[in-house]
Amino acid sequence: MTKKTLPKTIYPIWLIAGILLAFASMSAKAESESPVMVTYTYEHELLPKMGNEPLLTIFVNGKMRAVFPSFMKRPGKFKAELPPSSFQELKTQITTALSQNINTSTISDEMSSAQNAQLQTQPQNGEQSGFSVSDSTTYIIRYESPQSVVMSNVDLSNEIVQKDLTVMAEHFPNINTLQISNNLKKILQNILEKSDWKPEGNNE
Amino acid sequence: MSVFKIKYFYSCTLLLGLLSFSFATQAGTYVFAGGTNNAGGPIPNDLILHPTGYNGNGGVLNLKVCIRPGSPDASQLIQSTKNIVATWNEQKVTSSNLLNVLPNNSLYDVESVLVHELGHCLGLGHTNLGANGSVFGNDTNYTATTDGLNNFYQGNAGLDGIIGSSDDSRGDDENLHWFRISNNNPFSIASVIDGSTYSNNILDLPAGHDFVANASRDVSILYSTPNTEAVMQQGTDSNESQRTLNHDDTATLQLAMSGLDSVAGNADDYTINLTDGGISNAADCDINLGFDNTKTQFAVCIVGGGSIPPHNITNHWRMTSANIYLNTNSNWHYNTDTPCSESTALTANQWKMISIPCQVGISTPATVEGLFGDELNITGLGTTWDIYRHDPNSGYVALTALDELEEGVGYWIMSLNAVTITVEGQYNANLDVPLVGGTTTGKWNMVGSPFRLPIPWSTATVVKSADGSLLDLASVDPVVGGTGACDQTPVHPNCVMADTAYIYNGSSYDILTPSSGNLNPFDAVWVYVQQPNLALRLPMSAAERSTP
Repeated sequence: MTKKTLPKTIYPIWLIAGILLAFASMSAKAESESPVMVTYTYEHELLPKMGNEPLLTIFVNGKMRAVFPSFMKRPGKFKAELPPSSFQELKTQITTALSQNINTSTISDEMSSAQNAQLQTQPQNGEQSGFSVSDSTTYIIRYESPQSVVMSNVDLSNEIVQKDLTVMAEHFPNINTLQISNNLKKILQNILEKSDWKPEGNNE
Repeated sequence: MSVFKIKYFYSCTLLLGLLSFSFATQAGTYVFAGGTNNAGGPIPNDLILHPTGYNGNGGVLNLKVCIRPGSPDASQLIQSTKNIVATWNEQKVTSSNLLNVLPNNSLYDVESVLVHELGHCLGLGHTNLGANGSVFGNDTNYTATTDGLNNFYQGNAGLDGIIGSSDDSRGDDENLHWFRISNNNPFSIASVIDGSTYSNNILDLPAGHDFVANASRDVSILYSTPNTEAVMQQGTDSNESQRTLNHDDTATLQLAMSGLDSVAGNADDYTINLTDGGISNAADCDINLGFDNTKTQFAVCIVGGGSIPPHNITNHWRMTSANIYLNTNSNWHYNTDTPCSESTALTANQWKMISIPCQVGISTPATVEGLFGDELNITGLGTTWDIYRHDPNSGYVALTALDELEEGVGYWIMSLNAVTITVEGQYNANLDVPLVGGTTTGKWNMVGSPFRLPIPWSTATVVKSADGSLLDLASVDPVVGGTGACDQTPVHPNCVMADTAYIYNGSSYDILTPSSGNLNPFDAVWVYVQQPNLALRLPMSAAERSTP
């Protein structure tokens, strides 16, 4: 019997595979449309897992694609175009995230450092406290530099996988990587919820 | 051939990290158990989490549940909030609590989700591993544990092939799930619930059991209690409602209620009294709920908690905050106050045996006045109409306007005038209706159908309270020497309960036997019970489960 020892903080292979597959398919699609700048999706613990396609894909040319799962009010595949002002806001946030190398590992590192600092200040009177989120949402954001994608010869991409991103960012306001990640997530979520989505195949 | 085989759930590289800094996202029977505290230290696996406000002194713990003002669609949550408050107050145990009664297949039942989330906000964790970041698919149904010293989950479903059952092998994973010591049956409940009857130490498992069984729908089949699942089991399906508690849900809450010493019946015990605070941000709202798309993409419960000063016992914490959030983009189904509405005619001046075919006491009153006050003038109770229950030990008892009726129990009702009565409420699940047995002569019990559609008497089962085992009609009244054990004079010792039931037709009694006869909506019957500590369970029909 082969025994594999795995780290505790691992992520399911299906999700990794799904993200990579989705990104690959989006990249393929990019040949006919435009390179992908960012994908945004999530999984919720109470629900069956999503399909392989990301919830939201935004291309370098500002065009967007959304795949709303069956548990949402308006399931299906949709397309839309990002208004210039929103597109610029998104690009600015992505540039900020890239410049600070925001990804799963850097968030983890910063949180570990904060944890170690907190260990030094443990109360001595026996009192303990905790914070818990039951039924989490895991957010997955993969983003690339708009410039690097256009030039297609520079590897400037990052991936953020984080449970309950906004909840965590609010709970740990001093963790900068979480704050930047959450700002990016807020923009993407806003785009997802506020855009004028049209069903795919509808040329209007 | 060895049956012990460990399956390592997943193999991934350290590509992605799910952060758990100072953050107990760990699933468990009590929230926080097996996780890490805010200082990064370990929280004991046997931690019991008490609701907000518990200080170790016992008594009634009042908790107000409020809907956040300003929440989108706040008004849509009013009815379900009332209902979940009543459900957790009542703590009634049910089986067959998975129904398919929503209007279409793509809807998610907000009330079922809120029952689950409110369970978290009262301190309960998941009974299963759940989708905790490194487990997926059917493996999420393994019983809640930590991932052990080797930092990964292990599991083998054992000979029965059912994940989450008592023959699972779990390697070095450390159990978090409290279980009934006598039988490790999560579809049964002890009469006294405390540390003497429940444990989370697997050394206390019954002989022959390898691991703690959880109350999943798959495991429920092994216990002849199909279509049953603890509401605290993580995972939900569209077109499914699960609004009533399972034995394990109630037992876990009540174990906490045995207080800091985990001994029932002394001064630190408490009961919970939830109240519906409506749409309010009052300072005394203990549990707040509403829609907020920034917090979740479906539903979430976020709690803070910690030691209970001055006791500061390491394995007893209480909550300090409890918040539920839902996402507006999900395709929710909103329950109403009366999805169940059934009527029956009373013939003038004729006694009728009746039962209650809807769940009352949740969204509609359970009192005599609340149930029948519309059709039968309440001031005429005792003069123009009457309703009685039967106590097997002392005989008939006339009900007053404020007496509450119970589902599964039979009543006599009579009106001088012909009238149609309507009962409204929620859908019932399976109930275990306590039976009173006799000594040498047995006792007559009046029981009734809790359902909207007919059920064959042949499907009736008897639950032995001592161990939760089920007996069919052939087993409760076996043929001994060519005659039914309960038909003999004197009654044969093997008689548990007579396999026949008697229903009054207005002039005489019809007999329901193991081979013929249905219990229709509103029907109540007499049953003869010989032995003590039993309950009657009338299994829900497939049609009842799926008929809106």
